[in-house]
Formats: sequence, structure tokens, C-alpha cells
Amino acid sequence: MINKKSKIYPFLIYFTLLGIMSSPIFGILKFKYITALEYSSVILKVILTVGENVWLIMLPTLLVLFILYLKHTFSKLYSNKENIFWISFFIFGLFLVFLSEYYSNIESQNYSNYLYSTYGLKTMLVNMINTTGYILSVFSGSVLFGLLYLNKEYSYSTNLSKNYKSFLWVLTVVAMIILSFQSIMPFKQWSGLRSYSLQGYEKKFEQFDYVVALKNSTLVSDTIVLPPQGMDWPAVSNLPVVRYFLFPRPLVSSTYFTDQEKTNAFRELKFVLFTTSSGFRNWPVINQANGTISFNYVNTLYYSELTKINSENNIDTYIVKFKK
Amino acid sequence: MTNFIIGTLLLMMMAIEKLSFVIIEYPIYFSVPTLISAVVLIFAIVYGLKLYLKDSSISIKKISLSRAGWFFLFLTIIIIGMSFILNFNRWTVGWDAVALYDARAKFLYSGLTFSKMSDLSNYDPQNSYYYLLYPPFTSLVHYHWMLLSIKLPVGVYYSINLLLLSLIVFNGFNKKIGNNLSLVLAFLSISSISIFSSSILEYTNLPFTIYILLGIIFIGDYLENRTVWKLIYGISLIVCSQWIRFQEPIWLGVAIAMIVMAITYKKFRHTLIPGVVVLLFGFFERYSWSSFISASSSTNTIVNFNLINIIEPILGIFTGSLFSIGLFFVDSWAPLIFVYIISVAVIINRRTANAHNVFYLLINSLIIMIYFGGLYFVSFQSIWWDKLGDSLVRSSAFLIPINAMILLSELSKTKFINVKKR
Repeated sequence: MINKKSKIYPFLIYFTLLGIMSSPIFGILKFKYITALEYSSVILKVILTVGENVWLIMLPTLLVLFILYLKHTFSKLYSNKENIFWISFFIFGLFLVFLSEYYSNIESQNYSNYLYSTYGLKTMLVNMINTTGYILSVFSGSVLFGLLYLNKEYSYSTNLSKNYKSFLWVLTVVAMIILSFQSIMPFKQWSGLRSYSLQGYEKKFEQFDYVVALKNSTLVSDTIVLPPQGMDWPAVSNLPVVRYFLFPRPLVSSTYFTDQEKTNAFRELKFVLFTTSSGFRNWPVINQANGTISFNYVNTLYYSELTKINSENNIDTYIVKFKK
Repeated sequence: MTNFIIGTLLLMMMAIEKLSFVIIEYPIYFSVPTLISAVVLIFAIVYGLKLYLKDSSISIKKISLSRAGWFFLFLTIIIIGMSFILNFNRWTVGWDAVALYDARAKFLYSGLTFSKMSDLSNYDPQNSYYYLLYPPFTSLVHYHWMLLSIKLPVGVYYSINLLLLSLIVFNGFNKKIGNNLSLVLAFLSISSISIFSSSILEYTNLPFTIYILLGIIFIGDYLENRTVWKLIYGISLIVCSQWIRFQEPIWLGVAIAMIVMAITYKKFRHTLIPGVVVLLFGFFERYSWSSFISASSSTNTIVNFNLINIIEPILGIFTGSLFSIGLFFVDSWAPLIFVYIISVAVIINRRTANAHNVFYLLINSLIIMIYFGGLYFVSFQSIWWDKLGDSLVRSSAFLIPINAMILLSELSKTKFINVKKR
């Protein structure tokens, strides 16, 4: 017979686990509620938001309860019949890991934000479930391992230092399990690593075809101006990255063109055109009627001549000349 | 013996790269500190070699393994094979190698010198300091790889590094935990995803890891056995690792660990002078590169030391920045940070203050503090400080073998693992 008092820990742990699991469910309900109705009750929204965030309290509580239950496990009051609880935590942890990885897989097979836009399931909460699952299975697994082994070698004692040593022993096994997980990853990720290693630069860098077009349509002595460095053009606006392919061509950043004098010093520059029709912001901003061009979206500069010098794969390279 | 050979090779390679740097930059006078450090390094190698040949008997012992040992040897070979397979077919390099490490090799190959590289950013105000941000070692290796016309992707060099790492780990710890457990350790180290993935990236992390790790192993052994050649080699490796990666002052952590040991325990008094030597040479090595940077260009360093940059972090303690950055720190470094904290607890629990225990305890604790301190400090100075999370995990990979060794040696004490010591 398991001591009634001993049952309280597993009960509390299950309660917190339920709370943690409810967070994504509240999140889904909230999404469905917000998107389905034109009129929404503020109170209901508040309740759903609180429910969505209840994991913030439940997860630390779970950790505390685990440590308390562990202390109980190494005390005289523990009976082997209680092993069933640790086994159930372990299995439940594995279940959470597989469940969360299943949903993460769906997301990676589709597109970013797919889970949220389709189900209302936030990836952050999926990751949280994943972490909870790992904590559960690793912790319970280590304890079970320790229980199985310690059963043979040590007798339970209320000696505090012995309990502490057992606790530390469990932690050592936990640490080894973490290290083992880290070591399994190259095998687990092998196909991904393999395809990554065979990737060409056109896969690694977005807009790499623009860099190739620049290389093909310019001489090694030509000066080239690139779009403003930033997320609109992650690779092709990054001068160090582009320089690897276009060296020894001098490269100029858009931010450099702050006044006409600095610009005129160049005499001529080459660039590739980015347009909204190909999915980008317009760059550079050209006003042929006024004879002006802007590279940094701030300063407008006068040019004397603008000519398209090459067109390849719908990518146009231009030369712009300035009068001194 | 194997680690002596590897140590000699690594130090010789470092000396060669430093000398070729001086030749490339000739007649620039601010490469003179590098010349001095190269000469000192050569003296250290020669002296260490002399001591080794005098003291040590070169004997090849037969290694007998259990079935588990053979299994982990097999797994280790598989992992090394996987790394080579990935690199043999990889003719592209990673983002940072494209932007910096391999790019500089290309520039060197075309005749540009390091001091002139900052001119490339004349029209690029956002990246003015970029090409001198990292020390030259990796780029020089890539450059020589090109010069020697090796018909293999440069990534193969990093697989060779992984192989060296497995040898370093095995030979570094097999006296302590036995051959079989050392093979487990070697496998755990090289297959750990942060180390394995750095073997398929042409970045500074893996070379840095092997220099630091071998250096720490040598110094740890010196502290226990007083083998002088290990001290010389250990100090050289740790100090000149700055030529691979500059930002993380691991040498400072090692120096402080040695000095703290000497001050705290009477029996470790002899570590005081070596600790100070690490400190002095470490500063000089740091100066040899930083003086070159500031002389070649008016660059910013990542971390600036002036009054505001020191006061802000201190005030940040009271505004809760410490907590939020601490959370980010743990989040970036999870789950390995838990492994490190657990092994710190394990060592503290040992209660025997022998050289290895004290040294590794201090190393672990100090290096974690250095990383956190660095992150905290930088968070006040730049908006992209949170990108350092990944970099932190990769560059601290040398802690994995050390901590795994501590944990394995703890487990080997229980009757769970039967250990036949060498």
C-alpha cells in the first residue's frame, strides 16, 4: 500500500503537467475565438490569455515538485511501489517530446508560422512542451536508473550526506544523459548535414544570382555600388560577403553617398537594379525625368548618364556616370 | 608521447604562421611584436623538446581494450569518418568564412597585406573594422592551403583538427580514467554537436578548441606531476591561442586559476610564478595583435574600455539587466551549462584538494564567469549582443571534454563501471 501522504506528490506533479499542457490549448482557443467572431468579449479574451501563459508558473512549479519528490524518493518513507509514478513520468515525458516534434515537423515541412496561421498553435509553446518533455524524461529516466542500481548497492538511510551524495549521483547521470543527447545529434542530423555540405552558394545566399550577374557583366577594375545593408537584401547588400566573389572590384556601400561631391568623385559606378516586380524594394531610386538617383533612400544625387549594360536572367546591370 | 608530438606540431604550425605573417607584412614595423612572440615560441618549442627527450622515456605501450572500449573506438572512427566525408565533397565555405576567414586568404593570395585590408572598407563605413576583427591564423592556414595547391577543399583541414582532438582527449586523460573510458570520452567530445558541427565550418572554433584544450591538459598535468616541458608547452598553447581567437580571454582565466591556487593552498605555491608568466605572456600576445590593429587602421574593437562603458554595466545590476542577460545566457548555453554546473558541484563534493580537482574547478568556474561577464559587458555597448549566444557555445567547446572527464571519473568511482587503470 502506498502511503497516502506519498501520493500527494505525484498528484501535484500531474496537476502542474495538466496546467502546462493547457497553455497551448488555451492558445488555440484564443486564436479560434479572435479570428472567428467579429465581436469579442474582453473578459473571455483575458481568461484565454491568462490560460495561455499559465505555463510560466507551472513549469517552475514542476521543477520544484520534482526536487521535493526526489528528496522523498531517497527517504525512508519511499516504497518501491511508488516506482510506477516515476515510470509514468518517464513515459509521459517521451510522449510530450514526440508530440512536440511531430508538430515541429509539420511546421518545417510547410512554412514559417504555418502552425499559428492554421491552428493557432504558437511555436514558442510547442518548444516549451518539447523542453518539458525532455526535462520529464531525462529526470525520471535518471531517477529510475538510480533506483534500479541503488536498490542493489545501497540501503536507504536518513543520513543526510548519503542522500545528498545520491542526489548528486542522479545529477551526474542527468549530465551524462545530456552529453549523450548532444552526441547522438550528428547521427540524427546526418541527412541534413549532408545536404548542407553539398549546397552551392546559390542555396546558401539569397540573391546570389545578382552577385553572379554583377561578376559576369563587370570588369575587375569596375567600381560597384550595393544596396543598403539590411534584411531587405541579406546577402547581396553585405559587402564583405559580396567582396569574396567580386574581388578585386572596389565595392561601395549605399550609405556612402551622402552628397553630390562624394558621388561625383567616382565618375562612374555599376549596379544591379532591384524592382518591386521581382519582389524587392525599388533600388536604386531613379528619376529619369529629373536625372536623379538615390542609393540610400535619403540623399538624391544628379547623374549625367545612365545606361543598361547587361541583362541576364531578368537581372539588369546598369552603369551610371557622374560629372565632376 | 602522442600529445607531445601533437603539441610540438601545433606550436610549430603557430610559429610558422606568425613568421609568414611577419614576412607578408614586411617591412611594417608594427608586426615586430609578432616577430618577438614567434621567436619566443620557437625557443619554447626547442627547450620543451630538450626537456622531453631528457626526462621521458619513449616507449610504446600496448593498449588493451574491453568490448565497450572497442565499441567506442569504432564509434569514434565513424564520427571522424563522417566529418571527412562531409568535408571532402564540400567546395563551398560557411558564411563567416566567405565574409572573413577565407576572404582574407583570397586577398593574401592576390598580394594584399593585412595592414592594407582595412582599406577595402574605405567606402563601407558600417564594416570599417571588419577585416582586422579576428586574428590572422585561420586566414593564413587557408592561404597556405591555396599556396600548396592542395586539391582538396579546405574543410579537410578541420576534419584533421577533429581527428587531433580525439587523440588529444584520449591521450590526455587515459592515465586518469583508463583507456576504455578515455575512448568513451573521446567519442563524447568529438560527436558533441557543437564540436562536430565546427569541424564542418571553416571558422576559428575548432583550432581554438584544440590549442586551449591541450594547453589546459598540459598545465593540469604539470600542476600534479611538475613535468616542466608540459608547463612550457601548456603556457605556449594557451597564450598563442589568442592568435586564433582574440575576444575570449581564456588565458586570463587560466592565469587567475593558477594564481588563486597558489594563494589559497600552501602546497600549490609553485603555481604562482607560472601563473604570472601566463599573465605576462598573455598580455604581450594580446598586445602583439591589438597594436597591429590600431596601427593599421583606426578601427573600433568590439569591447571598448572607457568610463561610461564600465559604469553602465555596474548600474545595470540594479536595474535588473543582470537577470535578463543571465536568462539569455542560460538559454543560449543550455543544456551544456547545466552539465558544467553539475560537474562543478561534483568536484566541490570530492573534498580532496589535489591539483587536478582544484585546477579544473577554478577553470570551470572562472571561464563561465568570463563568458557571462563578457556578454554582460558587451550587451551595453552594441545592439547585436544577442547574436553572441551562438558564438559563445561554439568557442567554449573545449569545456565539453574537461567536464565529461570529470563526470566520467565520478561515475567510474562507483561500482557501476569497472575501471582498469593503465
